[in-house]
Amino acid sequence: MKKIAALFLGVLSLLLVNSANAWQHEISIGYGFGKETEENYYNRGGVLSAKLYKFRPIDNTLIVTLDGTISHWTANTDKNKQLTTVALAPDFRAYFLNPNCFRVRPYLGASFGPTYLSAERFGNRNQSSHFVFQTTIGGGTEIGIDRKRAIDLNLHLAHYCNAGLFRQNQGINILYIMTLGYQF
Amino acid sequence: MKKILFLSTSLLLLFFAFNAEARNGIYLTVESGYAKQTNLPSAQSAGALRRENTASFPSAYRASVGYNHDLNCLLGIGLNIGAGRYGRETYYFPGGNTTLYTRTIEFLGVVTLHLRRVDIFGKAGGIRETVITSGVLAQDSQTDSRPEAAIGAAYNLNPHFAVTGTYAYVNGLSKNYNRLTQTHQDPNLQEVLFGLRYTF
Repeated sequence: MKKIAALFLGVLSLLLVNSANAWQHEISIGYGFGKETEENYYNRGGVLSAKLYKFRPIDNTLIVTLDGTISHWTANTDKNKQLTTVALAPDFRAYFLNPNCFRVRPYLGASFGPTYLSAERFGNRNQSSHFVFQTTIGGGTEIGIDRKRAIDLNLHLAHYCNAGLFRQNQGINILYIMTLGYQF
Repeated sequence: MKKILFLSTSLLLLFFAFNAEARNGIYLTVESGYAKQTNLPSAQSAGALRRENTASFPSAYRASVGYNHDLNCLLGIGLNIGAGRYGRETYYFPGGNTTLYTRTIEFLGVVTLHLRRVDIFGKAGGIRETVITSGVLAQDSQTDSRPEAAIGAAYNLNPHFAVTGTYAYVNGLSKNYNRLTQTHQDPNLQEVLFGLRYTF
């Protein structure tokens, strides 16, 4: 009984230790994989991203940052196997609870912004252009180290499409992207 | 007369706003109710003996996650992402049956008006609509983007829980629906949903 109580208090103290959400930047690396939607092959690859600028909070649980991302993807097909993307997008992060009051800070996030593709075709998908939009949706948690630094664990999906701006818009999807980030 | 009406409506809204329960944050919603797929081909055009709505109540299920940001104590804006399953229609052929229902993933912008303990909201956006068929004429499912609009109200039981009621309409963007024959086009959806919302 004492052990259970001690464990409970330990977990509670980890969650509730006052840890101001004062980080300004983040750098993260990740790995993505997944079956392309409505196809029979897999995409996989690596991601390097950074939170370049953190705007003033919109409210007590919503922030927005300007993110830059470089990714390299490989498709499990015979042709058009390689793709590199470079994206710049605002990222909205909504915390479940006030992040200034908790050390462990789960959140949901979404971003949308312009992206450069190194190739117009990837796998069986044709985008007709090197210019597309990247949309990401996912969630994760920040774990505070101290008032200014934190670890960020994240799982999200990425969707590349040109929103119908060009003739072909078949879309490219990476369903599971796991990233590990360092906030400072 | 118009000025008096406008002034009294504004004063009434302001009165309710003073007690509005404005709240920023993530919320989760689960809903269920009635849904009908319309603009389906007739039994005759599909070559069937008859067509029947075989959905039992409830014929609609929806779960969503959203975020509300209050611009002031009266007005909030946000985003809602949901997944749903709607309707069930069966075509009876001599050799067997074919059943259709619709599955969606929804991305909707939301505007909320806070009035005391009641929120009035409107939603609009796009969905990914997939028609699932099974039975003798089963085909591979195909997904298309379609527009959706909804209007509803929520009664706040306390700062976290609210009961909701919503009417939603999805436009399948087709006048002649021939899903069971050659041309892939989607049904329209009409939904009446009741549910529970939890705000963090």
